[in-house]
Amino acid sequence: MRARGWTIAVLLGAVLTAGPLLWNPKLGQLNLVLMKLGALAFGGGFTLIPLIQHDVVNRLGWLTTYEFIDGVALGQVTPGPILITATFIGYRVGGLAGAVTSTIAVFLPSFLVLVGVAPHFDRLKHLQSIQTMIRGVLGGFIGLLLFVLYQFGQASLVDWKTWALAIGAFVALRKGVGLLPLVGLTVVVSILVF
Amino acid sequence: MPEVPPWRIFAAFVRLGATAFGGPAIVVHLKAELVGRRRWLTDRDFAEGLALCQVIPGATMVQLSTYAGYRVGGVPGAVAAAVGFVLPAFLAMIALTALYVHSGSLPVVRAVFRGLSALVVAIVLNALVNLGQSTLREWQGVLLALLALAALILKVGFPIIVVGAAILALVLYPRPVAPVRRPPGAS
Repeated sequence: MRARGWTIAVLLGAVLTAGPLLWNPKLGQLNLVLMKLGALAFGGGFTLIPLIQHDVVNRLGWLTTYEFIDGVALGQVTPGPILITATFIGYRVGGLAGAVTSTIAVFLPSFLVLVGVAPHFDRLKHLQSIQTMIRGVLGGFIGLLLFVLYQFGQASLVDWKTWALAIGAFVALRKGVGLLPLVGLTVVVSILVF
Repeated sequence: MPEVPPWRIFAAFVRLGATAFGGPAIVVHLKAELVGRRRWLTDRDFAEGLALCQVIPGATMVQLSTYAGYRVGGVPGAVAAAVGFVLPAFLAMIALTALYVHSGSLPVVRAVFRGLSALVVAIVLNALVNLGQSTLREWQGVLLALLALAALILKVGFPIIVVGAAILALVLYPRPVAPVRRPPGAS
């Protein structure tokens, strides 16, 4: 990426974070947090779930665990990346403008890394140490996922019906049942049972 | 390779983004379209792009789209592909969130979300098992997972946890190490 491209990208980042800070400081701060987390999401978008739970729910308290789980559920119903849950959070914190800026904030860092690294990947890919470091980071993410599993379980599994649904869904997922039919089935069962 | 105009890249990825359901299955979907039907990437390009997207942060499918857009259209192509791929999910999420905000207190909506929340627990557990199968084979992975969990409970910041895990991995793992395998459940 050339100098002009980097300038545009940096300006975009500044507008995204500093802009909302003027009329909605909370949204500006949310965008900064999402950019930080977007840059740390090694191993795919799913690793962002524990990061958001920790920073936005536990630390800043702008969303309850219940709301966040609802947002994650919506992220499973929509096509494309799970990171789109950021749109939900932005909407909750800053309305439509929040939805737009939060979405850009969460995807911008990894976009810049990709465009910056892609031309040099031929030289980088043979470096064993990079592979080893990624392996270590993914190991660490298991611990973070365990933490979020505990918190999500506490919030969602409140009676035998929700336990039964979760266990049934997990078995179905392990057996290779697609997510979309599973969501459809869950909606029908929920309306009948709850 | 001929340059593809950004609007064509954008249109192609809007279509791909709108039909990208099912986590790991999306890779197959992208490959069929980009390598098979449109011939924008060779088999080898695609494999290299996937390898790249696994070592840098970000949502793998979005990154793979960005990479493909970059290869056929430079930086404008990368922007067109990324925005195109995310746009359908973004619009769907806006619509669903507005619906959620306005009718979230209806009993039937509460019932549906109660069930979906239980499903989310199953999805997180499934991702955990998938990731665990590839990273918890050796004691080093188990140790790093436990250390990260402890650090999280002690309220250590994420940048420190991620950098710490990377540095510790260099110390703990013997070389050479097997290449990282993508956990199939994470998207």
